[in-house]
Amino acid sequence: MKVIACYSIKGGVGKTATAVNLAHAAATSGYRTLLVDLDPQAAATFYFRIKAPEEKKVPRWFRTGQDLQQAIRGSDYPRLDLLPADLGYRDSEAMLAGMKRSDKQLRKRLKEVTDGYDMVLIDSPANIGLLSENIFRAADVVLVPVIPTTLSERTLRLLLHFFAKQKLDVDRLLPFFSMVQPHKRLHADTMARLRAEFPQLLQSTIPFTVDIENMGVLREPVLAYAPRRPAGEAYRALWLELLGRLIPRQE
Amino acid sequence: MQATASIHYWIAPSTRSDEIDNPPLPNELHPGSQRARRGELKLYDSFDWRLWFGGLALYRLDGCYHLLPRSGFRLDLARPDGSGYSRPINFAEQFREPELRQPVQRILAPRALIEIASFQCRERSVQVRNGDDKGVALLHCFELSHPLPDGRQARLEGLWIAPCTGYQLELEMIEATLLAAGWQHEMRNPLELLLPAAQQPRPERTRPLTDMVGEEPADDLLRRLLLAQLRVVKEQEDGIIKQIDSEFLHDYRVALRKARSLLSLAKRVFPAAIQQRARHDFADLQRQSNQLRDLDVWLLQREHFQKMVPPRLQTGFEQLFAELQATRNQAQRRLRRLLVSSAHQLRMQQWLYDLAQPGLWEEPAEVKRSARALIDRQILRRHRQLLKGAQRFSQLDDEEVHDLRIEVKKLRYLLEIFSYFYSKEPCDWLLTHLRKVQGRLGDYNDLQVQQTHLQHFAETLIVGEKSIGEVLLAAGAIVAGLEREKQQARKRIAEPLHRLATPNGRVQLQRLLNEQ
Repeated sequence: MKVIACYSIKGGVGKTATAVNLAHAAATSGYRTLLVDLDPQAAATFYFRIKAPEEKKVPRWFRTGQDLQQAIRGSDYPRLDLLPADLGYRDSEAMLAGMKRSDKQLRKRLKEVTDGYDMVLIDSPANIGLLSENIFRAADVVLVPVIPTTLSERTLRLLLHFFAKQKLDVDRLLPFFSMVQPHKRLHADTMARLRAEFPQLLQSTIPFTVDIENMGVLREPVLAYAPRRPAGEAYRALWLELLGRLIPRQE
Repeated sequence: MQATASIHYWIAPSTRSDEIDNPPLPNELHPGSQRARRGELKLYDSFDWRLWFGGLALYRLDGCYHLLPRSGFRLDLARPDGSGYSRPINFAEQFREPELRQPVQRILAPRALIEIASFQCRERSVQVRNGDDKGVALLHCFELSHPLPDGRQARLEGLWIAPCTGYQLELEMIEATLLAAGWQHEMRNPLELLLPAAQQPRPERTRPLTDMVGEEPADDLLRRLLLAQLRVVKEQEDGIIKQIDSEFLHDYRVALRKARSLLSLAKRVFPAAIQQRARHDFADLQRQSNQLRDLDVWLLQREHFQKMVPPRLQTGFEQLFAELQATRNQAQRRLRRLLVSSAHQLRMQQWLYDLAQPGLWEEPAEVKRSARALIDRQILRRHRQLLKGAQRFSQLDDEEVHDLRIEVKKLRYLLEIFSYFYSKEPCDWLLTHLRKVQGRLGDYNDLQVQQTHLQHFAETLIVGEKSIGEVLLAAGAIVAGLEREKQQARKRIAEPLHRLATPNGRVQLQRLLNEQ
């Protein structure tokens, strides 16, 4: 089983769209996939038309694996399930802080519920703290969407600094360009400069298109309703590139 | 192979043809996206249904093969199809996909795949959505049908539910609605329910007559029984000609042997000329197939023989079996030529016609004697021969063991064919022991025939310009291995044979003949 986290300190960079579309791509490729929505905004849950459970009934991360298992919902796509988010996650930082081995709780809980899945994708909230550290320690790779702008570049540098400080494996960070508008000079220049500086940047880029924005209206992954449009093709390419990193070709 | 949990099917209540187009749903749920397809579904297996009875179902739909647990059989539009095959597969090794090839080969090898049933199939998958327009389950609806000989259709409409994880409540609502609408819960595979109607008319191994009465005149009964056996013989011919499976030849020969066994009752029942012609014709057919059957047995046991040969002689073994295979192919061609010849076809047609006409032949004196009396006398006679053989078994040479095997076989066939006349208990007891003895005598005889055959084969072996030394050494190793096995096989015969000769065995025979 492989755990893929979609993470950025900054909001609005395309984390949820990436997690939702990669989860769909993984399931379509035949992998039994679980998408874990850790963002209290529950956008991934919304995209799959799943109703976020009422807070008081929701099993929290820090309850038993059995509770979590019962919270899993099937999506409308074969082999793709979702662990819905709820507002209860907003207290995660405080709750984790009071626990022993507070940076490894997510990994422990995931192990209890992901038996039978080949791929687990995590849609992370935009912040940095104990929950983020839990995500970094649970994931095999951390996908980082980067808008080729100054602020986004800055958050990538911050993240790299955090990894180094916490002695986390930097190689597990896989940044890629998201919401790219190639006609903008700022985007083109930033991409060229960062590619030279960070060789681990993935080659695939996700364009800024209306098809991705329409996910909120249609409540479906782009890959389900526009697989042949540029955005669909881009997510498919990103999935294949990621798969190549996760499962190296046998010589 | 796809692993599946047990599936609960729901069978539609009426014979209307639109049940699966509008399956009943709870008010809170509504149908979403739908897909449909139709095609011909063909079920494949070996002649003796090894896959089916081994718990598997192999079917072909739209040129793609699917292997599924029999109990978990599911028609599923969402399942990705395997690669297509333009022509039906005859043997497991022809499957390209290992997930098909390996399990089928493990169960069937070296048996051939034949079509055992076909259905017209209509599938429709309906997504069921809740108020949020979220899918909560998928209904896999199906209609299977098969035309009946009287022009009507055997039809079955039903569905199975693939619930979406986490929507148990909605699943229960759907099931309650189906129940309320008169749908029936069914655990059995829908194919199994329709199979009796759709089963291919396939060659039968035996064709028991169920309307026999002991008082029936012997000539009528014998004629009917011979006709039934010859029809079985005729039905195997196509399988032999097309080389579908060596089992067709085996069944062909068993039916011929049974017919010849029945002829032993024909003395003073059929006119002498008819008896003579029948003996000649049936023996001739059996003889013409002897070589092919012997070689089939050889080739079917290739792996067993290979183990008898040391590694350094494996090249010789390969050459030996290549020669055997070539000889087998020649024998197959010879038998095929015979079976397709007009002379043979005429001969078979003549027999089938003659045996189907009561009173065609001039009747000898005993012709109206009751069948039961005649059969009793034959059983007693065969049993006496068996007792003689049992008493002298340790002194019998191979030829005499062969004769004993024929006697046992004749007695067994008589009891099997006429078991309808006799009390179940003694008949079953005798048949159980006779089958065991005959099986062991058969094993011994096979080893003896193989040994003789190999010796003869080695003497006449011509391997072109290649050295025949290794071939002969490999043959020698097999002959030695067969000799060891023969000694062991002979020891295994004695015990069941003597059980038939014990006082209890004799009592069972008395009960058989005395009880009505």
